[in-house]
Amino acid sequence: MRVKVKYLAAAREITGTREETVETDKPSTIMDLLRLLAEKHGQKMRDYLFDSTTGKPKPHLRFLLDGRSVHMINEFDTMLSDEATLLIVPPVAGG
Amino acid sequence: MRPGRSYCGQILKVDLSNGKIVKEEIRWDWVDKYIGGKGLGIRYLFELLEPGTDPYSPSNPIILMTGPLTGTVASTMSRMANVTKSPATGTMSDSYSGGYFPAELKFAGFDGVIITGCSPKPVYLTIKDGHAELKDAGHLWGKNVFETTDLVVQESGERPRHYEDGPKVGCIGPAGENKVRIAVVAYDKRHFAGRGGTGAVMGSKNLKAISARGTKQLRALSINSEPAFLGMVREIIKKEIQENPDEEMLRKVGTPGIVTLSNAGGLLPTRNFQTGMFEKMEQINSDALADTILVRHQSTCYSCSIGCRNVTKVKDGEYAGLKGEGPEYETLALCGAGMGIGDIRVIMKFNEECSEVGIDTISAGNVCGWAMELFERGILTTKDTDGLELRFGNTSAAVVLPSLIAHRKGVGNVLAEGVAMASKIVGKGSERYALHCKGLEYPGYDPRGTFGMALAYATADRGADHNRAWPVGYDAFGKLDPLTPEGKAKLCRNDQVRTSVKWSTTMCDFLAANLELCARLLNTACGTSYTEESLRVVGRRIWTMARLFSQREGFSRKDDSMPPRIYLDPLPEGNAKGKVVSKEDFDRMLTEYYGLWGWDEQGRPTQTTIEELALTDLPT
Repeated sequence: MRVKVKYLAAAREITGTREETVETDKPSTIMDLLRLLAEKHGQKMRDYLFDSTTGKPKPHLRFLLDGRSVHMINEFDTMLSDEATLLIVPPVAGG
Repeated sequence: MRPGRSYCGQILKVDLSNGKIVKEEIRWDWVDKYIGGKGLGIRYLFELLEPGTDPYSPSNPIILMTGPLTGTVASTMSRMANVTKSPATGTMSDSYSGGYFPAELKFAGFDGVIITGCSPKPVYLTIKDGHAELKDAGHLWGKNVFETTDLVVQESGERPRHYEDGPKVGCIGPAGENKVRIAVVAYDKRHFAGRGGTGAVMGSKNLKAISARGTKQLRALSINSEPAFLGMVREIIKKEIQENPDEEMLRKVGTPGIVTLSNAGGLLPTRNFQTGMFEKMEQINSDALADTILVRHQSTCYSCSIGCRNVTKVKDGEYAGLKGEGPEYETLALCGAGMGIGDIRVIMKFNEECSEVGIDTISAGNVCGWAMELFERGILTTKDTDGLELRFGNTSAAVVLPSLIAHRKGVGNVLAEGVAMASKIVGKGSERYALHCKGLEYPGYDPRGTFGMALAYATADRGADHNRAWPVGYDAFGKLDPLTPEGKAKLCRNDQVRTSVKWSTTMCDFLAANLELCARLLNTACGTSYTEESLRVVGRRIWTMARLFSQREGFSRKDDSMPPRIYLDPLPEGNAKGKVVSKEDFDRMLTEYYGLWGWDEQGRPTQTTIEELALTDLPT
């Protein structure tokens, strides 16, 4: 399975890229993907994505899977599909 | 509150009809109730303006109102409300400008300026170190905002090495002079205020520019040297800006980062809101900006640590060498996707054209996109457009429109009226495709992809506005379901309370501040004893006052509405494919909203609410 991950702002600085394609050979959830990204990009990415106290993704981050907020699907247990796109978004203010 | 600590305690009143200039003590009783900025500006407007006054009448005032934190070193606070009666909507309009002018006005010794009358010939107003005079502006009339600003600075006699070190200028371009209903006021060349035609009101008064200069700024506001206040400022910069994840996008990317989000959510207004996804989005988003035109990020206003703005320059192609700032998200949305333009260099050109002549890019993109749809439908033809092929994506036609609008030439003369009145002029069913509320053009979030924005636009006090309430931030860009009316009334109400307070302290929208922080800041700067709850009451008071103003001008529930496209035309693709905001859903949200505000089912504040909020002293 191939999943595209897109980054904005600080996540881009940490990973050094705007987007990347992640391949996995087994069914995966959003959480599995985030853990894989933390492992791949190191402690800074882990600190960016996860609350060190709870171990859960930081509540202020937004995750859009093919345009839909994961909170509208099945939260971080949402299963990924082949060729899906995950956008990791910091909070935004209007303008 | 001691004058000279954070408030100056003075308002400058200028009557352009007879040239009379007086200084008046600020209404401290109103300061207690409305703080400054938005609240105080609207309160003065309510007092000075007879209901039913024509916005172009000499008796329609232009009110510039700073807040207690303007001109202090507190980051993001140095802004100013521009309040008047709008020629586009027929009700109150409050717009906000940052940059450097607001702080300079405080250094010059004034919390606000109230301008009435109409000068017999073009003039500009200079304000310096507690004094003001009117000067001839005949030689400035016709000049664009950049030229005008430079000349006014030059005529001051100062020769600042950098603009920031000298007099600050707010002015209109040809659009304001020609009473274009989407004309704005340009402060410091690139900080625009006045959606709804404040620039046109200024032009109707023959007032070309205002300059402010305070040479005694170090002694102007004593709060700037108080240790407790300085400590708080440092704490805010560190905790609320530098370490706050809510500020990350703005500090690193600016508003253009929202383009990708909007498109992903299926709510990026494309080709006059015909769809919510733009196939060329990647050519106009923040990546395209960074790759193509960015010089540097983090250009700022006075004493701001966020630095949301982008300095830009076109490096190649037809507009190579063009320098500017932005475009911001709304411009990318309405003037890019909205007009089918998938080249950020062209959007920048359009943006700069609008800046030069002094028109609002949201309204310009909206009305031009509408005209393009009419052309493609055959409602407008080349006979109406003097041969211009106004098709979506036709860049050569697009970039000439701002000048045509500003100078009221050809089709520009119709577009200059704004989309609501232009659609009445054109007729032939064109109103069906006009996206506005109360005459103010729809901004860059399609409500069919985020239902709460339909309510936000409909209930905004000045017409369709995306800043007073921003429920999209909680649903499509957040965690809530964007495609339901549930909970949206409360989101809108809460945001409107918060922004009413923030904009009365003149805090920037981009500081993610809650009422608790507002209370702490105000108490430190002004010696007040606000709590979060007491500030909430102030916010409710200000918003309800604005509602009463509109009611006095004849507005009611029927005006809190949606344009036909939003409830008739399902989005054809994306996250919200097949969706409209039904009238039933909208009415349900609106009724719930009124109830939350303590208004009746027609949207009229009840007598109980008016008394509870101490609004019984408003003139009727």
